[in-house]
Amino acid sequence: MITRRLDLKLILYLFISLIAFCVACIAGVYYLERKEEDIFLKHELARVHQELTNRTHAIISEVLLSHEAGLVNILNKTKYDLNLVDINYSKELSQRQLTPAIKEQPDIFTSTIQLKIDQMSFGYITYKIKLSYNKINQNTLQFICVFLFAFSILFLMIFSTIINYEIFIPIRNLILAANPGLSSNALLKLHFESEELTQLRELFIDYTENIARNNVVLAESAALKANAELARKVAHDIRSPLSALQMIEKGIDNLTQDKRALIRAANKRINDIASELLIKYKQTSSNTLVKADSKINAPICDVLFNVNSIVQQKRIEYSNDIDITLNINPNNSFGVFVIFDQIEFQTIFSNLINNSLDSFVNNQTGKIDISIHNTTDNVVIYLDDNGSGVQEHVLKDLGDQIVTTKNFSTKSGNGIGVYNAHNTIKKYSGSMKYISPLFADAPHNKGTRVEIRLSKANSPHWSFDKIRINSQTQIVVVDDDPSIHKIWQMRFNTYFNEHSDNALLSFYNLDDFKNWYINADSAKTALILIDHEFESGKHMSFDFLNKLGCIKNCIIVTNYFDEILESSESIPLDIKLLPKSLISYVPISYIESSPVDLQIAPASAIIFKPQHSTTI
Amino acid sequence: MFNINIWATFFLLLSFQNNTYAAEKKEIIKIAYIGGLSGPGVGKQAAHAFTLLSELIKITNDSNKLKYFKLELHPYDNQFIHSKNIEIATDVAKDGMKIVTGIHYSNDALILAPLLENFKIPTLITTASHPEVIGDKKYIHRLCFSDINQAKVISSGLAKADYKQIYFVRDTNNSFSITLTKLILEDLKKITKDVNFEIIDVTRNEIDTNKFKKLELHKNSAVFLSTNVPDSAQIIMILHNKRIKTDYWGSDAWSSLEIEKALENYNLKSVKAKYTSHWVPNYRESAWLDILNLGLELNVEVSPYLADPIITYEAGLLIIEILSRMKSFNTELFNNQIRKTKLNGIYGPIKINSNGESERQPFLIEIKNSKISGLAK
Repeated sequence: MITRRLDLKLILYLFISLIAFCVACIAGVYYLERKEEDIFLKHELARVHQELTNRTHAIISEVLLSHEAGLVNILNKTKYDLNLVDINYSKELSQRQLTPAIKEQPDIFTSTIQLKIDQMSFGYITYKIKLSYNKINQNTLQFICVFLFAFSILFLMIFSTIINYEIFIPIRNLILAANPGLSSNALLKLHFESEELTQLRELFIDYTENIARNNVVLAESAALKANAELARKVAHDIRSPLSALQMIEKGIDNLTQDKRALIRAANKRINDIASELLIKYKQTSSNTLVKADSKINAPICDVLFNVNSIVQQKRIEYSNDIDITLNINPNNSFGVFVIFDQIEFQTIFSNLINNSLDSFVNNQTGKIDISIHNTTDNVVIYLDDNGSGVQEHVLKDLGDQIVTTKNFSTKSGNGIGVYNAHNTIKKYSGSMKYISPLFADAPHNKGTRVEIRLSKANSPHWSFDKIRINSQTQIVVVDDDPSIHKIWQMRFNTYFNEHSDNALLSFYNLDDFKNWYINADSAKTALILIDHEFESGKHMSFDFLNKLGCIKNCIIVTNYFDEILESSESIPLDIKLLPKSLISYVPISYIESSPVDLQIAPASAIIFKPQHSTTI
Repeated sequence: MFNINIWATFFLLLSFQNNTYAAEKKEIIKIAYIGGLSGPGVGKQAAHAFTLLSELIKITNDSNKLKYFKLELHPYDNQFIHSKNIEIATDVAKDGMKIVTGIHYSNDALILAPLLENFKIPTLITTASHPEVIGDKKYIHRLCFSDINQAKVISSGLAKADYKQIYFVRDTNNSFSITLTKLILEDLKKITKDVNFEIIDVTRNEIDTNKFKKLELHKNSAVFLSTNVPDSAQIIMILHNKRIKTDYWGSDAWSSLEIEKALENYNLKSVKAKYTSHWVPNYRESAWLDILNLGLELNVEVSPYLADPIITYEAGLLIIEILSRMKSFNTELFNNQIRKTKLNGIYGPIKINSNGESERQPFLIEIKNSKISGLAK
């Protein structure tokens, strides 16, 4: 039947409603009938009362005449005329009080009236009368009930048919259209409310979420596509002037080594960025831009070196606007490596500092405080600023979506930097977290902390954790830059003054050093801090050190740190490398009366652990 | 022709016209007459009574006998319907009546008396002799004797006749009949022995002939009829037709009506009957002539044996006598004077005691061959 396809619960509701309607109709009939009955009874009682009042004179007369027979006669006549059940006279009011008619039995009403003239009472008459209202008989009522019930069933069937064709079948068709895998028979077995609509609702939710997700991807893809296009153009356009800069750089001799190193580093970084841009954004054949997540082949990154490098660049770039503080503990942070691509690290870190710079409001002295913390498994980098902070609703989506943090900045951004940083860090099993406000002293100066947590990597063989010396150690600095000698002198002065009378031995060219090393007795135990490039353009090769036999005692202190690592020339296992930018941070450890052991730490050591009494 | 209301209105208008000037100065005293002036049970007695009273008032107003009062007579017709008296009592009070008189029958008086007592209207009842009419009432008085005295006279007469069997015919719808029968029986039981009493209840105007055909009557038997005149005459006729000779006794109900004429109508002139009467034989024969000498143009027949008109007339005399001593009407004073005034009436001295009862006694009279003769006090 038609109704079989309808949900039983809905039918039950309808049936109950119709039954309630029927009951209400019957109750209404009863109510109206009862009301009519009340009116009838009141009218009849009033009529009887008036008739009795009209006869009171006759009754009083018989009472005054003490004529019992006459009284009985007149009461009987009254009883007959008014169709009373009973009527009695009493001289005094006994138990009953003068009350309106009381319904003592079904249809039997009793009332008492006083026989009274002026202020004289002549007794009371109490009468009973049967007043029955001609109610609707039971057959009529049963007929009404049956009619209403039949009408209800008929209405239910018609309503069911209409609902089925107008609502249920279209809904099922919709579900079938949305879920082609569902058979019609299976669909019929579903309960309307609990399964059909639930399934339909879930499908709609899925569709809605997919559409929203696709919209995000499309927006992201569009942004990435635009960025990729821009990156490709920037990478292409930057190549030519970069080549010119690199050529000029080789001819610049009148600059100090620091400045030349900085220019060289800048050129290299520009070149790296251009290369990265070209590699990172490749357009697929399906015209969808995807990030070329190259397979991570355990790239490692010196945290302190790269952080310090970016900080120095930013200090030069924004020397008048910001105050960048690199707050580190060298004993804890030096020689720590993380699993990360160095270029990506620098890009991310540079972008994060730029974001902090953008968060500074006008006329504000921007402060950026960077700290590095070395834990057992991770390296945590905190980047704190006193900028305008990140609003709460932005904060919760930061990193998950492309949102901008620059609400209070005069500058603008599209938020893609943070999004990429988050994804990139996540790719290397790291995490990045924004905490804001960092400060609560002003509404627009809340501050932000970026917490970057990265997985620690094994230290490479050329790295070391600190320089270990004792009173017998001869420190030899070989560098054509006098400032480097001064820096080393400052680093070792404390130890020389306190523990030794030896002065730092300085050489400004390789030949002088070679002569000293061949002839000096103390050369075999000396700690040699030697540059890789000299002003004459002469490069110090590993082979030179190897022939002298001092390679185990040497630390190459160079501005060409990256180039040495990337050069085709293999780095000897015994050699140690130190970027000149980290001279100020390298820890120096003085060991009392211990012979100097220049044995190189194993390459696999995460933290350089010298063997017994081993010092560098 | 017999519409008494018209007559009353006529006489009242006459009295107003002749005393227009005096009425402006004199206090008007409204006197209510209550009686059966119309209706199914109407008789001539009430009409005669009202006529005589209205003539007396007219003469009194004309003669200027009352210097300070002008009398107005207002008829209230109870149509011989008992319950009508309740409405009349209320109307009398509402209409401001100062004095009430008339009220010939005990059934009317028993209803009216308590109501008029309640309204504090001085009332002079004429021939209603039921003992409970007066009772312990302050404003209710009567000029006739009480049934207590009447019962003694009748019972004494019956005892002297030495009857062996006495039948008492009683009207069950008449309080007077019931009470009088009861009083007579109580007295008889005290003063007689070996007398059989039997009560026969009848309903007014519905005499059951068979009841009387079965009666065993002889010379030493008597039938006391406390019923009204028409019913009494019918019962006498029934027994007479059986050729049974017995003595018939009656009460003052017979004197209020015309028993002799009723007997004549049934051709029962030879029937001898005894009954009590308000008439006092040999009292003052000239008294009746006083009425005749009033110079009234009476359009009704008035007999000295008909108690209702005569005693109503006497009530008028008493009212006029008391008012003649007053300068302004005071209900309490007037009411007190009723019990203090002694006056010679038509049927003898009028003296009402402190209980409101007349000191008059009934007289036993005999009717034979349509002639009435006094027997003894």
